[in-house]
Amino acid sequence: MRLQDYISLGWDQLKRRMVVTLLCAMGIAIGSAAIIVALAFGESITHYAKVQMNSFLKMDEIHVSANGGGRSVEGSSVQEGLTAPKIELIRKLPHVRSAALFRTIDYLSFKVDDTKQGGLRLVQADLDKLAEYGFEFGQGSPSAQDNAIVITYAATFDLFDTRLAQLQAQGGDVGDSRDRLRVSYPLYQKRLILTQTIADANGIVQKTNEYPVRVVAVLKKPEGTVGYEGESIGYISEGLAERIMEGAKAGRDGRTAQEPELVIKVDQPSNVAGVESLIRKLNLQTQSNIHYEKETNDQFRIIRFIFGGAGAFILFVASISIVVAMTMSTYQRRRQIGIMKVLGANLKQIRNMFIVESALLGVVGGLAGILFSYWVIWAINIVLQRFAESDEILFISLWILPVGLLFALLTGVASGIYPAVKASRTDALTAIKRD
Amino acid sequence: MLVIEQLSHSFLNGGERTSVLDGIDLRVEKREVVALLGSSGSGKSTLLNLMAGLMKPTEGSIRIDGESIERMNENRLAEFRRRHIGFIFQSYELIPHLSVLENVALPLVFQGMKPKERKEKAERLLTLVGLGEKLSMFPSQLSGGQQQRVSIARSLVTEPSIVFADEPTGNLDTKTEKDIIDLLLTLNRELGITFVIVTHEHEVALRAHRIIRLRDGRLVSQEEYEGEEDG
Repeated sequence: MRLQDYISLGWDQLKRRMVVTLLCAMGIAIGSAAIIVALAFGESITHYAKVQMNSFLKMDEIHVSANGGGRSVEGSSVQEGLTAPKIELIRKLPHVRSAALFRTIDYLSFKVDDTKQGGLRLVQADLDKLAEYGFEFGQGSPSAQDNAIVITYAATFDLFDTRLAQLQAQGGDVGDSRDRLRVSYPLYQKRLILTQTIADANGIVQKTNEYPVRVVAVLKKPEGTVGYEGESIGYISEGLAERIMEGAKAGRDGRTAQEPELVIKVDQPSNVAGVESLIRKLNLQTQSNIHYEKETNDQFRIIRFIFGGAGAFILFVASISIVVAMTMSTYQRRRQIGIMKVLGANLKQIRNMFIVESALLGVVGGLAGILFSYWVIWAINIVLQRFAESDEILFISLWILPVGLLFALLTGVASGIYPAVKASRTDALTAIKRD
Repeated sequence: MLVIEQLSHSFLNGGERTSVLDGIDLRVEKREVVALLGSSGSGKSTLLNLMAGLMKPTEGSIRIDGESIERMNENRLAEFRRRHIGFIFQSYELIPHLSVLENVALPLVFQGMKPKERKEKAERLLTLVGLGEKLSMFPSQLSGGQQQRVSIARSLVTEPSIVFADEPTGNLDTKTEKDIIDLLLTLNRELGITFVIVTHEHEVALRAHRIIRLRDGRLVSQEEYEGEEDG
């Protein structure tokens, strides 16, 4: 018997029992939609987690330092380890998008408008290249001026209100919370006075250096975070960094800038491991966050498993309805099965007829399930956008659709096996004599 | 063509064995039309079902075209029926949701024949039984006689060696009954089909080449006729 004949006979039966077909298909549709939504949920969460991870942990970055890093800039290892020819070589490695030096100079406090105080970790960087490293500017843009500073969005939060503190000290009413002394303050285009205190070996302040800087740009709030999350960092030019380091020398002679780090951007996180191993051959130390990805993938595998399991359970419940409907159908069609047997249909052909019929039911349900799942995802996205004000939108990857359809088809086939075997065992003579 | 030797059939009824057929010997030649005549409970339908391989005998053998069918398993029997046996039912047994053409072509579906070929074959047979104009109609749109003609066409579509007809005129009026028997005899004459017809009506049996009478599960007489009689 030809496959197209099985399909044609099966389809004919489904059309004849339209209501039962629709009810069974509905069950499968809900089950396969649940699986598709579950997989889409897992996929979307994984995707956005990766985006977040990339944004926070910068999965496409490799931090390179000289072997035995952490020594002084003046130490010989820097020149020997992270030399200009090596940096040039690294820049030319495959998959390397860019490579630039970053160096933490110091942690300094600052004053602004004589009323607010804050603190910044100062990092020497090539300000013009910040954009290449995925830094996005919320306000302004980098400037070539020597006293320019680019600050993170978090730096505009948690400033200490000195005027309010003064009022409080004088017994003024400043409210009942100490938190009111910590405020957010717009810093774009403000003049900050970076303050460097020089203490002697006993910790007694000898001198205070002040470095006036202008906030030329404020970085964009990282996606998916609230404003105060993140570190308060100020990116400064090499000239200003040199002056600050020079000023620090007058102190107890211990506080020095960290060793510079070469930060490399790789075209894709998947290429990070390969580039890292090449760099290590240059006798350099590397550090990346790529291992987090594996850990996260492991965690999301569990989430996907749980969601998928829920969908599979729904499909299992739906399959019971098919078993019931198909078994009922075998009873209703006993006479027809008997006639077919008399006309020469063998056990396998009768069995296949029923299996193909329930497989078709599965496919119909699966296709409806795909449609359902799009509606469900669409509805969830509306809720997410309207009520949770979330930019993160669930999506269904194309690979999920055949998986959902396959589950529906398998459910159909599996549910059809028992009724099919039962139908094939129908005794032709008894079936014909029945009426 | 058909050779039956010492065929017996019995079943257990409340712990007691009841005999339905007892020691039947029968031979049906090629191109013969044989009527199995008997009253209700004589065992004629059981004999027909045994000959068609729908039941297994308790004892004895049944050979069709030299092949013993009593020991065949269900799948081999299905295959055998598909190639060698045609069956005509008293109540036609057409599939109601299939068209006349599809009903006739159905046995060929089980043979795996291509749609175009089976359509041509079914069409040819329907024309032969006088229903060439009703190919796309459904059984419910046909009269009893027409439905039986469809059933006859279906039984012949696989070009069987022998056709078993179980009370083929049992549900028909006298006029239609005559037409159907005429058709069977014409098909026998023109296509050389062998028919075994089970009937309880003497008038129908009289038109066969040979009448085999059954009573209480035993073959009581065989009457041969030179040719058909006009009933």
